Amino acid sequence: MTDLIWVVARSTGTAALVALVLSVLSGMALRSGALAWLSHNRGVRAVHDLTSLLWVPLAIAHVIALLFDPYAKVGLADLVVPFLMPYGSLAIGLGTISLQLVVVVLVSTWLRSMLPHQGWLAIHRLSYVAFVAAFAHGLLAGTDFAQPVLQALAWITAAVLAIVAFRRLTATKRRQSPARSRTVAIP
Amino acid sequence: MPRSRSPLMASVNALRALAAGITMLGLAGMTAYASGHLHNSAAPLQPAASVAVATAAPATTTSTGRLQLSRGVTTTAAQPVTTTHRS
Repeated sequence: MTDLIWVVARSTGTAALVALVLSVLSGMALRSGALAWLSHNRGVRAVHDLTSLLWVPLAIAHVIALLFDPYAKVGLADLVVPFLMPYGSLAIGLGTISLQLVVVVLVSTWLRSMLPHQGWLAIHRLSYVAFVAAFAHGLLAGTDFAQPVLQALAWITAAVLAIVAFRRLTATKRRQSPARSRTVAIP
Repeated sequence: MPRSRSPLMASVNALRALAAGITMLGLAGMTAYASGHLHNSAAPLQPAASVAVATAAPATTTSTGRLQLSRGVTTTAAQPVTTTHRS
């Protein structure tokens, strides 16, 4: 039974990270058009919404499995207060931070109509921090990342995300610069 | 003006299926892998066991400038760990 819990914790944790990768990737591609070769914006938006939702049951299963795992010894307090555990404090604490941030981002998305746009956007951008924390959590606490194949997959994914993030930044700058020059030209 | 190329996947549902498929592939793949790699004999000891060992070994103490030796090995209720999770 303990072995089953351990397998569930590892597999759901990895799958939750995969869902988060797809969600962040499609979210960035919405603005930058990085996935325009794959699909139109409506399709990319559908992927963003679906993977954000897919993350929820996987993360819940990951957390529940760890709560019941007698080896991991994760308590309810560790879900609220990061870096509380004496063993693997940083690695598990990053997971706690990531979990909390994604929950905040998801809740803010469901309450989007009640929030001012700039406020919602600021909260939504926390998902980048959440992703970095989740990735570091996977690398440090996820014992399977020691395997060369999995490590290669993880770093290739990180590289793809970094490229799309760069394109997203440059696309934003390109959009902003003509507007700024127009503003300057007005006497 | 050049015409923009049509995307590879026009169907939203096909794209959803692809995204769900990739996630489920990750879940299934890791389940299969983790089931076959449950334990690692080179992994560090279970945290509770290492804490129990660390706290039960006051080998030497000093009192009034003289060196006193005490027993370094004490009895414990901690179960021996013969196999550990992959860590």
